[in-house]
Amino acid sequence: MIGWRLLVTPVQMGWNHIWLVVPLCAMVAVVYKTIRVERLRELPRQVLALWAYMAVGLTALAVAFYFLVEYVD
Amino acid sequence: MAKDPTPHFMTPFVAGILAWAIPGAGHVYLGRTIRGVVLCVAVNGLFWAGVAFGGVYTVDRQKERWWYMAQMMAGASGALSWQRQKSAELTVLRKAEQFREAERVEGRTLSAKDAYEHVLVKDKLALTYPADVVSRAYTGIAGMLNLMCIFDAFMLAAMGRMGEPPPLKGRNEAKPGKEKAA
Repeated sequence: MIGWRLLVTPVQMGWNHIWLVVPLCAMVAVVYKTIRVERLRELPRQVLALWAYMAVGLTALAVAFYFLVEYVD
Repeated sequence: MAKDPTPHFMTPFVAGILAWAIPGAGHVYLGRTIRGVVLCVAVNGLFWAGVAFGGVYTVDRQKERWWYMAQMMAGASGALSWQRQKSAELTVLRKAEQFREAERVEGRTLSAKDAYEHVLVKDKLALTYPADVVSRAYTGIAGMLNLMCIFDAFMLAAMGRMGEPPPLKGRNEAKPGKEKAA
């Protein structure tokens, strides 16, 4: 991180960059539900539900692909 | 649902253009202020988080044309990032030319592309894996999400749906099933 300048130089990332998909999913859920939800009062609950769906779905896909790569020729 | 009896035929286009220029502005224009503010914070936050991860070369029209098209859907943020990249590229090109000249004086020949890459690495601007994937996914998806906002603002205006829906009168109205049970 030495010499890193905000919005100018790229961040050095390791293998754990995969976790950045979590806030990405959160933002997708926020934008999608802000448009779709009829009553704003329902927004936080709907966002959380969609975020959970995405997290579970992506985890399931990751596990499925892991087994596909590891055990299927 | 509140309906404007005579919406101007230009309203959908104004809403769409505003939604493109500033994410969420289309919804604010249609009287959906809270949604507009949420969309503005979410889309711009996602976009600039991506630029923070990838630096000034996140928006690169020459190398990543498809990502560039998605990024430009983020409106002012996308345009500003592109302008910053172009400005940085001019500086890098100037430095690369100076470097080539210095190498030539010392009897070494260097291609323009190699000199350019050398300066990019030396100035720590080179965007490499995995920062390139993360930053372009963040900014590109922000642009695509704003495209959804543009479409929504356009359609709401075209249907004459101005402002937030009116509040519900009673709890039973929210759940029609309960009405029957009562």
